[in-house]
Amino acid sequence: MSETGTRFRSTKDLPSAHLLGTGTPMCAGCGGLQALHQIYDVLGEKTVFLNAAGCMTLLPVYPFTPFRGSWLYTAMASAPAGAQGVRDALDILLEQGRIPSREDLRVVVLTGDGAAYGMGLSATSGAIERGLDFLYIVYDNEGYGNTGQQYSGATPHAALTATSRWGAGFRGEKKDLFDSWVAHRPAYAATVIGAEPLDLARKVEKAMSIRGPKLILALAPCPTGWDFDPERTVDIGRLAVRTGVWPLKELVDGEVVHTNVPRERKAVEDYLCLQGRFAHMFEPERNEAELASLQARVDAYWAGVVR
Amino acid sequence: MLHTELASALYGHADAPLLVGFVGGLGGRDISPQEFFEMARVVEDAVHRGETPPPRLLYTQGELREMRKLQAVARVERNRLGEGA
Repeated sequence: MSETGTRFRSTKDLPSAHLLGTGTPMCAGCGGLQALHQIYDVLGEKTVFLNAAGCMTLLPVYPFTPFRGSWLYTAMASAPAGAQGVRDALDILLEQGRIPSREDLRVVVLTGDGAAYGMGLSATSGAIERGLDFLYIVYDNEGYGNTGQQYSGATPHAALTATSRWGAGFRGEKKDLFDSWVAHRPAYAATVIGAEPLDLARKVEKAMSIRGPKLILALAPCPTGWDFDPERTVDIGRLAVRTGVWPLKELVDGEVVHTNVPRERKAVEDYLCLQGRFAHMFEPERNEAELASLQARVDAYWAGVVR
Repeated sequence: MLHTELASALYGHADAPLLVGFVGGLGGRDISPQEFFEMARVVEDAVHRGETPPPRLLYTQGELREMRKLQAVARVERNRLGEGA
């Protein structure tokens, strides 16, 4: 990503005051919370969150929420519809002069992959189609983590889940939500990860400067769902980028630009071998065919990336 | 789920019984015997009093203790923010 026009020139420029509060029951090492912390610090307090049911709806501990601004809880499929209602209500209040423009809020959807890749797709598609001015944050931990990691539309091939617990793991393929958004021609779309905070901050900053539907899609390493020690969350996040499994990119003026092209990609198995959900590919013996096939998928993706 | 379906099935019946609502087992958790005993106690109480109590969210004692701890942590921070710290 170009460094011009950003206030985040190096990691030293990242916000040092953290806005998201404490006293929440999220798991230790939650990659979704890590990303949310960073995103919220850039977004600031003048936000209203529409939270689709999922892990993050556990954030509030009644009667408190960790947010400085407002927070609303919706059913899994309907957060974008809620966002439309809130945006419309704010616009009416502004138009009628019932609130001054300095009291306007950014409307932000917060959703997990279960809702974003599955149940909530229809409402999301409608909101993009109507050109709704909102930010759509996805914390993608590749399964229904809150209920015990059943597979979702975001689960990658070969991962063990609560619904594909034995043998070769999940037989399906991870849906490409970024490309689904791009096909809708949104105002902005980007993939991020908490382990790359500078890249994340620049993208959130850019999204804030653009009106219309905007996607921030964060891969969220999940100690409980992916089966790894919470202290490895950052390592696994970095490896997701350096192996090329999680490409960091953004949609700018109708073109997809990669913001971090690994010079030499590490082997995909370096990422897989740290996670219990892929242990069956290494023990009791290495599944060479499946490892090669997962590596080939990543290679094929990057072969199509113009540098 | 059961409560809303019973309520709609009984809707409009002149001699419909009292219905007491509980929320439990969220996020795929099991409902413990402790919670069933509490539901029975509340239902019995409703029968004696002849009126429906508000819906209840079920917690085991351990869960409630954890919840109180989190509330305490959050309360301290919110109070500090309120003082403009």
